[in-house]
Amino acid sequence: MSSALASTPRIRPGLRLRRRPGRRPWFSGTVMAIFAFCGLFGSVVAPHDPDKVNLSQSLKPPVFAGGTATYLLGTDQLGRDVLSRLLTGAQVSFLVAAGAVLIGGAIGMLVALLAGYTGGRLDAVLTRVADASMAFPVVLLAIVIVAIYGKGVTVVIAVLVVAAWPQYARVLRSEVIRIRTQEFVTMSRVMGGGRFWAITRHVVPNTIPTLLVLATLQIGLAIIAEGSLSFLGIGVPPPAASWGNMLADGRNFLATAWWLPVVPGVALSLTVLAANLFGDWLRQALDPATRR
Amino acid sequence: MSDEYILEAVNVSKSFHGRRGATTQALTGVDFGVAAGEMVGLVGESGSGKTTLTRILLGIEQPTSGTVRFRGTPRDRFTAEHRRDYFNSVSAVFQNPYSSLNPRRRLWDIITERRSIERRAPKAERRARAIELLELVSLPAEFADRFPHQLSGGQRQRVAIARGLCEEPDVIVLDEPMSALDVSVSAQIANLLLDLQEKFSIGYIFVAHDMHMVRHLCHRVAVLLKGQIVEQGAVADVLGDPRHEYTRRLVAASELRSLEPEEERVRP
Amino acid sequence: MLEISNLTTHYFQGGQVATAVRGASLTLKKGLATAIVGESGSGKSTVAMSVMRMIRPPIGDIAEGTIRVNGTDVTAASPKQVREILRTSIGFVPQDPTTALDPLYTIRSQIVEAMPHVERDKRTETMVELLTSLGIADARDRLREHPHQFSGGMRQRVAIAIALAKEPDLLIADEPTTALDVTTQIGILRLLDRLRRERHLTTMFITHDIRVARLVCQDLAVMYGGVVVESGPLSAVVDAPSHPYTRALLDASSLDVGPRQRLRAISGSPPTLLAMPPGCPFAPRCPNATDICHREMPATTAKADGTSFACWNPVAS
Repeated sequence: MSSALASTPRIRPGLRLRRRPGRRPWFSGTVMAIFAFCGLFGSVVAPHDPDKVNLSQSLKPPVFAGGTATYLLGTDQLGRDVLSRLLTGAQVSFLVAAGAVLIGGAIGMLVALLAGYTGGRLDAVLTRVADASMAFPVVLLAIVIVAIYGKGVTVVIAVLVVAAWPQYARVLRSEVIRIRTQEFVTMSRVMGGGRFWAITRHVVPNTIPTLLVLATLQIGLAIIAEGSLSFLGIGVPPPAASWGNMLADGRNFLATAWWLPVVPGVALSLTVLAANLFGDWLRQALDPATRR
Repeated sequence: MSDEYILEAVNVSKSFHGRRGATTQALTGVDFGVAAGEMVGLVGESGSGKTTLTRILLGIEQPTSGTVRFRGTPRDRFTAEHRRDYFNSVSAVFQNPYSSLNPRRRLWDIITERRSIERRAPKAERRARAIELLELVSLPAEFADRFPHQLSGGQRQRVAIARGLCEEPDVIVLDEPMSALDVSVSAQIANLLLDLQEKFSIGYIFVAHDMHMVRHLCHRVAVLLKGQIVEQGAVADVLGDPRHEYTRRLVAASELRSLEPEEERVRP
Repeated sequence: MLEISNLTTHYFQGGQVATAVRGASLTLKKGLATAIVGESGSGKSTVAMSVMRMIRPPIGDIAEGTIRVNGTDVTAASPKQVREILRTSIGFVPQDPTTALDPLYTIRSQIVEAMPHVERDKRTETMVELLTSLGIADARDRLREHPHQFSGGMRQRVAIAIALAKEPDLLIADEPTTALDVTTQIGILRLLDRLRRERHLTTMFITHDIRVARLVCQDLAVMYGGVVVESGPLSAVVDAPSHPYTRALLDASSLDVGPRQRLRAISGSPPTLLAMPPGCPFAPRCPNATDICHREMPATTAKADGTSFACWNPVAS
C-alpha cells in the first residue's frame, strides 16, 4: 500500500489548497510574451549590430559583473554585443520552434486522423512509416540534408519536422481512436453526420489538450535541437547569431568569460521551462470542466 | 404485419472478420421491427448481438445479408429525400450519459446537433429549439448555455433524450438508457419516456438487461441469444410463459425472491 | 466484528473539500451480511475505502471517527499495522473483474500473492480446492491461464478467490454483480451467500440496488448524501421504513404499480458533495421536510425493532 503517502501527517482540510482555479500564468506568460516579441522584432530592438566585429571592445563583462551600460550583457571574443546577438538569435529560435511545431504538428495530426479514424490497412501503413522515421537518427539526417542543400534555418526546421511528426502522430492516433469510440461520435453518425463532420466537430476539438501538451514539449525540444545542431556546426551557419551558435562559440571561454555560454544557456532554459508551464496552463484553461 | 413497422430488420445477418481470417457470426436471420407508439424490449446477455442489431438499425453498421427497411423502403434504395427523412425520424439515446455528450460543446449546441449537420438553422433558432426541448424533458432553460460536466448523470440523460427528440422522431433506439443511473433517477427517466411516448406516439426500441423494467415498460419483447432471436412476442406471453430455456432462466433470475443455496448452478 | 463510529471522510478536489461521509456509524455483526445501499455520491463506497484506509492525502482523509476491525482502530493504526490487517483480515471483491485482474499474470500467480501464509508445497492444493469450491471446473488446469481466458462471471469468481485466499474475517464486496449479466449475477450472489454461511464470513455488501441487497443480506444501512439515514435488520427496515428516503427508495424500485403506470420516482437529483446543505441531505427532495430539516442534522433515533434512523419527521407507520 501507499506507505509513502501514509507518513503524511493528518492535515486540516483547507490547508493544502494548491492549484487555485483561475490562477494566472504570470511567469510563463511573461517569458513567452518576451520570447515571442524578440522572435518577431529581435533585430529591430537590438541596440547594436549583432555581427559587427570590434576587437578593441572584446570580452567586456555584463553590466552586473562590472561592465558598462553600453554593452548590457557584455561582448564576445570579437567584440560583438551579446544582448544584440541574443535578441537576433531569438528570431532563429522562434522561427525554428514555430516552424517545427506548426508543420510537425499539422502533419502529425493529419496522419493521426487518417490512421486512427480510418483504421485498417491505411492505419497499418502509416504507423509503420511513423515508426521508421522515428528510428532514423536525427543527426545523420541533418548531415545528409545539409550535404545536399547546404546549411540554413529552413534545413533545421525540415530536420526537426521529420523528427517530430511521428511523435505527434503516434500519441494523437491513440487519442483519435479513443475519442472515435465515444458515444457522442456514434451519435453524430446516427444523426446523419459524415466522417468530416465527426472529425471536425468532435474528434479534433477533443484532441486539442493532448496536442497542446505535445506542442509545448516540442517547442522546448525544437529550441534545444536548434542549439544542438548549431553547436555541432550543422545548424544555422555562423556568423549569424543563434542561441546554439552562441553556446558553441562561448564554450571555449567558460573560464575567462563565463557570460558567453551562460547568457544564451539561461535564455534557452527559461524559454523551454516557460513553454512547458504555459502549455500546462493553456490546456487547463481550454478545458470546460476546469474553466469557471 | 411488417407493413406497420416504421423501422425493421428483415432477415438480417452479420458476420465480422477477425484478424486471422476467423469469422464471428454476430447475427443470424434476425427479423425485428418497431411500430408507431410501441415499445419493444430487446434483451439478451452481453455478446448476444443486441448492440450489433441496434447499430444496424441505426445505419452505423451494414448487415452482411438481409435488409433494413424504413417506412417500407429498403435502405439500399434510399433517395436523398429518404435519407433526410430517415435521419430526422430515427434517433437514439445511449447508455452512458457521460460519454454521449461532447464535453467541449454547450448543451444547446449538443441538443440541436442534427440541425447543424443539415446546416439549415441559424444559431438563434437552434437555441430557441434547445430551450423548448429542455422544457420538454423538465430541465430549466438556463441549462442551454452550460457544459455537460456541470450536470448530474440523470440530467445528462435528459439532455441526451432532448437531443433524441429534436426532429420529432418516429423511432428512438434506447440502448440501456437507465443502466448507468441510480434507482431513483431511473424511475424518473422511465416516467419521462412514457410521457413522451404518449404525447408524440414514438416507437421505442428498448435494449435492456433489467427484466423488471422491460416487463414494466414494454408492449413486446424479443430475446436474443447468440445472434438469434429465440423468442419474440407480447411481454405477457413471453415473460409470463417463456418457451425457450434461456428466457426461462432470465425470468427466473429476475423473479428470484430468495436464494436457495442448493440450486446453485455453475455454467462453464 | 467491524465497528464504525462517527466516521467523517473528506476528499480534496482542486482546492475544495468535499465531505463524502458525514458522521456515519455502523456495526457489522460477525457472520452476517450487511448491505450498504445508496445512490452514487451517497458515500457508500467511501465507507468501504475508509475501512481499508485507502483514502489518504492528497486524495482525501478521514477527518473524524473510529473504525475498529476486530478491536483495532485502523484510523489510529500505523501504516504497517494497516497493511497487516489488509493482508490477513479483509478481503475485497471489486465491481469490475475485468480491470481488477492483471492481464499479464496467470491466475495462479495472482492468487499466490494473497496467500503468503500457506506453505509453499501446499499452495497449489489450497488454490485448487478454493477455486473448485467457488465453482470453477478443472481448477488445476485453469490456474495456468490468464484472465482473458475467463468469462465475466468466472473472472469475478477468480477475484473472489483472491479475496478469500488470505482467509479473511471481513469480506467487502463493492457492487460485485453490477457488471455481470442477469443470469450470471444470481450465481455470484448465491456463492457469496454460501461463503458467508460456511465460513462465518462477515460481509459488507455495497450496492445501489435494494432488490439485490434483499437476496443476500441480513442487515441494512441506507446512505444518502454521506449520512447513514437508516439502519438495522434488513427485514425490519424494509417492512417498516422510518426515514422518508428509505420509503422513497423502496417505492422507486418497486415496479408493482401495473404495466406502464408512472413509477413513484423521487423528484430532483442527489446532492453534490461540494454543495452539501447544513441540515439533512435529503431535505431538498423530501416530502416531509420542515424548516429544521434544512438547518440542522437530526440525531439518530433507535426503534424497538432494532432499527435506527436519523430524521426529524419520520414516516408514520
